Parts: sequence; C-alpha cells; structure tokens
Amino acid sequence: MIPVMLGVVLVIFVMLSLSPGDPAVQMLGPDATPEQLEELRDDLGLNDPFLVRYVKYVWNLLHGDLGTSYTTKQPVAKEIFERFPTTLLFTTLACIVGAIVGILFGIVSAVKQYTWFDNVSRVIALIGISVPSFWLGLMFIIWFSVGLGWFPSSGFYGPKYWVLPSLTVGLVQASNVMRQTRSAMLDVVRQDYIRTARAKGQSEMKVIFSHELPNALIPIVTVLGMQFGRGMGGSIISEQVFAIPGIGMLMTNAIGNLNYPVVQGGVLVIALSFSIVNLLIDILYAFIDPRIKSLYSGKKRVRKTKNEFVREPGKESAANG
Amino acid sequence: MANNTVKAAPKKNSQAKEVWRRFKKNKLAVAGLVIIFILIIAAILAPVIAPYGYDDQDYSATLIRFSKEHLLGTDNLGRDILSRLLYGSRVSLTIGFISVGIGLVIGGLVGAISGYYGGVLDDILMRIVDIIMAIPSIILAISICAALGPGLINTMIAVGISSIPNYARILRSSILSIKQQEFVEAATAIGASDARIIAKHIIPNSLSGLIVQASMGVGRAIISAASMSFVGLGIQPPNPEWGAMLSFGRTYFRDYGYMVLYPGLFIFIAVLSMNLIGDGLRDALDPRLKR
Amino acid sequence: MSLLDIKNLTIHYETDAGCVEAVNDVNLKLEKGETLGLVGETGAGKTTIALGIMRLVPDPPGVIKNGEIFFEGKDLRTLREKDMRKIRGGRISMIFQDPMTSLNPVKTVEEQITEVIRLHQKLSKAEAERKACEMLELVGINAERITDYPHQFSGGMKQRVVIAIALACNPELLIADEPTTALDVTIQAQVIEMMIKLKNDLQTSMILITHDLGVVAEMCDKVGIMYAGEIVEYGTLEDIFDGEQHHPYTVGLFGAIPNLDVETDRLTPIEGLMPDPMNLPEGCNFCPRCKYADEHCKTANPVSHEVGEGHFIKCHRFAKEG
Repeated sequence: MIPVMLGVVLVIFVMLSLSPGDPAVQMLGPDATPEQLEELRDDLGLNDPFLVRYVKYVWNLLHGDLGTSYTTKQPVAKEIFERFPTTLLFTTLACIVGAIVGILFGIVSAVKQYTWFDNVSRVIALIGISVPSFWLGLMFIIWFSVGLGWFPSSGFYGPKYWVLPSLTVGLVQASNVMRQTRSAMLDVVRQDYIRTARAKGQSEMKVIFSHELPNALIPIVTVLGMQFGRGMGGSIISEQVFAIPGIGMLMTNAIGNLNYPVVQGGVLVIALSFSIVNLLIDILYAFIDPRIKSLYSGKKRVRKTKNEFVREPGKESAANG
Repeated sequence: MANNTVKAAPKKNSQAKEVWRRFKKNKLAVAGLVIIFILIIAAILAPVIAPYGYDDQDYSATLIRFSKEHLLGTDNLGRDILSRLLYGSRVSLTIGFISVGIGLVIGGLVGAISGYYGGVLDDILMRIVDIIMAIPSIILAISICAALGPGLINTMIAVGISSIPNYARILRSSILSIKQQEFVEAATAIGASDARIIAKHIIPNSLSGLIVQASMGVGRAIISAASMSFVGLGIQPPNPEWGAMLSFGRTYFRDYGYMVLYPGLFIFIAVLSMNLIGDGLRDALDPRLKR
Repeated sequence: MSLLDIKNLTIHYETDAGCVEAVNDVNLKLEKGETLGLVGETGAGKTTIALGIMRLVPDPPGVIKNGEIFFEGKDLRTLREKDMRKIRGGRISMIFQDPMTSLNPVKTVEEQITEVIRLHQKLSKAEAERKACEMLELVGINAERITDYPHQFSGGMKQRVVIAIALACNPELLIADEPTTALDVTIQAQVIEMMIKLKNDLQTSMILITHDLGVVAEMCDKVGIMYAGEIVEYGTLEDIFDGEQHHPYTVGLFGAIPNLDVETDRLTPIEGLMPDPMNLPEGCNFCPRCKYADEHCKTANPVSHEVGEGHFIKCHRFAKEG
C-alpha cells in the first residue's frame, strides 16, 4: 500500500507541475511586480527542480507534514483533518443507505427473479445508476427542502442535515449494490449446495440468509468497497450541492485558487482512505470464504493438507474393514 | 462464456447477426438505441432544428417558464433552453464517445500488452494501474482537468485517462483466460506472429466484455464531464454542455427549478439509454449470463 | 401399505423454448427395507423423479402435471410446505450426484451436519454436535476433522460427508442420485461398499439412481429401466438380469456393457439417440431405435404388460402374450 501511495503522490505531483497556472500570480493578483512574484515563488519552493520538490514533499509527508496552504498559511494536514470527519461521516452514512437498500432489494429481486417485484426494482436500479447524483441532489432540495420544507438544504450540522445528502448519494450507490447483489445471488441460488440445504428441510428464509447470502457476499462486499471510494471521490461534487464543509469543498476551493498543497493533500487523504477500505475488504474476504483464508495462511496449511492426503487412503480402507 | 465465443469465432458475420437478433428482442435496449439515435441526429441537425442560437440573448424574455416561443423556457439571460440543450447534445455526446475512445484505445493497448506478454512488463503496467485506481476516478479526472485547465479537449482527455485502468483490467483478465485456450496454442503452434494472434484471435474473443463496458462507459463519461462542469472545471460557459447549463442554473434553481431540471433530465436520458444498450448487449453477447 | 407408491407421475419443464416432458406417467412401488434401482441414460428423467418425490423440482420451469406420490399412505403432493419440510431430510433424504458442489463451501462440516440434526431432532447444540461426530465416524472420517471446511476434503470424503448428512436423522427412505458417478473408480467401490453396509445396518429403504448396471446388481432388490421419461421395464433383480423376456431397450443396455465371460470383439451399442424430450414421438418413444418396431408402434404408445408376477414391460410385443 505504501508504494501505491508514493505512486499516487508522484502522479499528482507530475500532473500539477505540468499545470500552466502560476500560484504566485493567483496569490498576489495581477498587480504584483515580477520581483514580488519571483520572491514568492522562491518562498513556496516553486523554483526548485521537480525532483527536489518531490523528495522534500515525501520527506515531509513521512513526518506527517502535508505542507502549508497558500491561502490560509495554515498547515494543510490541520485543515484537512478538521474537515475529514465530516466527509467520512457523510460517505459512511451514504454507504450504509446504499448497503441496506441495495442488498435487501438485490436479495428479494434474485429470489423472486422475473416477478413484477424483480422487474420493477431492476428498472429503478437502472434509473439509479443513470441519474447524475448532483442533479438528483438538486431535485431533492427543490422537493424536500424548498417545496416541503422537511429538511435543510445546506450544511452538515446534525441528523436533520444528514438526511438529504446521504439519501442522494446512498440511493445512487444502492442501485449499483442492488445490481451486483442480484447477480451474485442468482449465481448462488442455482448451486447444488443450496438444493442440499433445501433437501435437509431447511426453511426458505434460512436457506436465503444462512446459505445463499454468505456465498454471494464477496462480490457484494467488493462493490460496497468501490462505492465507498466513489463516495469519497464524489464528495468533491456532492459537498458542493449541499454546501457541506468537508474535504471535497476544501479541494474545490483549492483547485480554484491553484492552492496545490491542499489539492495534493486532499487527493492523498482520499486515496489513502480508499486504500485502507480496500485493505479491510481484502481481510474481510478471508472471513467470508474459508478457501481464501487457507490461501493466506500459506505454507503451514499446505503441508497439513499434504499429510491429510497421505493419510487418507489408509482411512478409506479402514472404513471398509 | 469462453466456449460460446470460441465456437462462434470462425463465423464472425453470423455471430454478429445472432447478437443483433437477440438484442432486438430486448425492447428496453432497442428503446435506448432509438433514443441515442434521436439525440445524435438532434446534435448533428442542431443548427437546423433549434429555434434559436445557443447564445442568443433576449433581455425582453428572461426567466420564462414556458411559452409557445420557448417550449422549455428561457434562462436569466433570455436564452432559449431547448435550443441550448439541442446544441449541448453535440458537446455532451462528443465528450461521451471521444473520451471512451481515448480510454478504450489506451486502456485496451495497456491491457492487451500486459495480458499477452505477462512477466515484468505486466507487473510494471499493473502497478501503474493500481496507483491510478487508488485515486477515485472523479478525483483523478478533476485533478487532470485542474492541471490541464478547462476546455472541451482537456475535459475529454481527463475523463478518458481516468477510465484507462478500467478497460486495461477488463481486457487483461479476459486475455489471460483466453490465452489458456487451445485455439491460441494451436495458432502459436503453426507459427502465427504475436501481433496476428492478438489481432485475429484474442481481440475478437475478448471483445464482448469490452463492448459492454464501453457502452456503459459513454454514460459514465457524460456524467463525469457534467460533474466537472458543475464544479466549475471542464466546459466553460457559454458553451451549452448539459453539466455547464446545470451549474449555471444553480444560482436560480430555488425559484426557477426548470433551469436545472431540463439539463439534468437530458443527461439522465442519454445515460439511461447507454446503460440500456449496455445491458442489452451483455445479454445478447452472452445469453447464458442473462439475468 | 407400501413405503412409497408413485402413481401416474408426470413432470414437465415448461421453458420459453418449449415444453420438456421429463417424466411421463410413471408408476413405482417401494416396500420397506427394499432397494429400488432406477437405470437409464442421462436425461431419461431419473433425477426429476427423485426431485419430484422431494418436492424440489425447480419451479419455474418445472411443473408436476399429474400423479400422486404416497409416502406411508400420505400423498406428499397435498402436504403443506411446512409439513413437507419435516419430511425432507428427516424421513426422506437425498444424496446428490456431485459431492464437489453439494456442500456449502463457507460452512464447516460440523455446521452442515448439525443443521439437519437440529432441524429434525429435538437435541441441544452439544448433543447435536456429538451426534454429528458419530455420523462422521460412521462414514469413516475421523471426528477430529469435523471443524474442517469442505475444500479441505477430497471428493470421496466429501461424498461420505454428504452421506453422513443424509443418514443423520435415520430416514425411512434414502434417495441416492448417482452417488458415485463423480468419483474415481477406486473410491467408487469403497463408497458403494460403505453404502451397502450402512443400508443393512440402519434398515433404510433406498432408491438408487444410476447408469451403472454393476452397482444395481450389487445393491438392488427391484429395478426400473427408464427411457425418455418412462419406466419401460420394471421387475425384481432376477427378472431384469436373468429373466427371459425383456424390453428391447433393456436388451440394448445389456448389450452395451462388456461381459467378462464371453469373448466379444465389439460391444453392441444401441443405434441412434434418445429422442428430444421436447418433441417425443407420437407412438412408442423407443420406436425410432427399435429393431422390432412396426407401423403399430409408430402410432400407439404401448401400455405396461405384466409378463410375470411383478415384472412389467412397456412394449407392444408383449401384448398378446400377457
């Protein structure tokens, strides 16, 4: 993961250094003299060669220093981590909505394949993945906030404020989750071991929730991880819609001001949290599927299976005796 | 999946016909295709069919909700929204198709090389893909756009590049599975060159996944571009890209909701149509996957 | 009263492409303690009968069109789903064809055996676990391995686990659907031997579905020969293996297996293929492949004729004699 993160820093660094904009001009305005500009560029380290800047940045990064914001002169790390909880809460709430709605509808849809319920939910999910979330957000504001006055349209200061943003992003995510859940469940429902479970006299509910769902969980969890990443990334858009003071908002402003340290920091933090979630999901795989677990436990496991293999013929014949 | 395509490989034409026959049965997918065709025609004929120019301002007729002259109303500068939407379909559809083209060509190339040659090259390319994938694609696109500056071409490049990993991975994994099949071994055994094997055997057989992804990718690209315009990057006013119109209408949306309703509706319909086509293609290309 | 009495069972799969007549007008009887062998080619409808008894025919597309399935005098088809569940796994249990895919990969063997025990017997968790260990030992697997997952077992051992699950509640009737087809030949023999032993020990009645006539000879009391969804010949083991009179298909089946006592250069396979179950012939289903077929066979579907006590053959040739 660390090499990937260094790579992310490099990618962002290369991109921003290719940028035609000049932060010094942006900061001092058009009236600044060339000398003032040059001095500021020196101060910001913009005149150093690319490699020097990169190594400096990574070195500082390893010490927890993400640089200093051009506009506020505050440490970027501080600015970001003041806002990070808001974005994390927002993304998590949306993911929870997405997971609950998506998984439930996906399961019912798969179990009742080709019924009216299935057809209707498939169409709704297709609509859900086609709708631009920022537009959906604006429509929700028009209906539920401006029209009905049920929820506030901007800010993120309490449960009442959370509803519209989480629903907007959550429902779009739910559509993706629903489609994945449905197809994963459909793969599982025709498996022989499901028939075995029914042949034991197990009830339909138990068959669904204790046999089918656990086997369909890996693709579902994978898509949930992806949705989390998309939610973090999408915060840059959705925080605009609902005026949520999170990282996304910080970054949009920073991009406008050519405030590169903040842009870099923001991208890095979002990429890092996405990677951490993916790592957690990889670990989760092992708990979901014992076959993956035994792959992880490595050589010890292999040796044991070999012993079993050697022992087995003896046992088979013992059974016959 | 492999079996199916393998069997059909020698008779390409009849396979395409068969796919079309199955695709036709899916009414929703056909509807999607028809809508996209209408939008494309509208985009081409925009100067002919649009009642006004996209930047014709009429200060005597601002913020009209609906009138005989302005079916979808006018904005605060008195521009006819319907006309702007029709012109906008040129921009949005171009972005959608071209950026998918960029992603498809570069991503496809990376995936093909990576999957076919394997080894160190594969390792390096896939590490790069991993790095790019660690950045959520919208953030990547926005960063690229921030670096390159706004504008139509830059937007297409940004959206295109951010979709490269997706196509690279799809093609790579399908090549890996096809490479193991006997007809590829057979081709190698009779001394076919790498380029020939990739072009004649591997690409046709891994195409179906790519086609489906690409058709849905057009929809995603339209949304991405619109999102970027929405936060003020990407396409700039007065260019009537749908997302830019939405962004512009935001200032007035509490009182004049139609200014954001219609552009969003157009984005939604275009994306929905592409997704319908994608779903239909997936079922048509591999009926056994039908769900 | 017979343990199982199937009357006029007809099962169709109704798909978009057409109607598959998987099982047509089948009559079967099984007495307590007996083993019935159902023999036939792939696609003859053997598994569908088994699923029909369990009421597990996938619906859609499967539909039980007609017939009764009496189990100890009660028609299983009229039972409520709740009561049927008590029978499934408890009084009638089933072993499926492919042990590789019949066990849930994410549950331990213990969970999978105790599941059926807890469903049908009022035992505490600890008692159920003890019983599960006993069952595992019974099928010849060390009880220590009970906490392992299916992927840690070989194919033969998996089938033993499946058998342990099926026998865990002492069912009156065990349906074994090609229990050894997916296994290596050496393992096949071991599993068969174990099944014979367990069947005798536990006094379980059994329906054995197979296309291996050798296995039938070893295990069965009664044999039904199936062709294209119908029982074409039914009788005791002696009737089928040593009897004088046979359905032409039965003759063909026996002609297609090598005989160690007689020197043969070539086996004599049955000419032709089984008819498309979506489009069965108008008359006798076997008619297109039958060397005795005449005009009558092409138009009229024969009924079963009793050629000896309890020996039925569904062929026009036995009409006059019967």
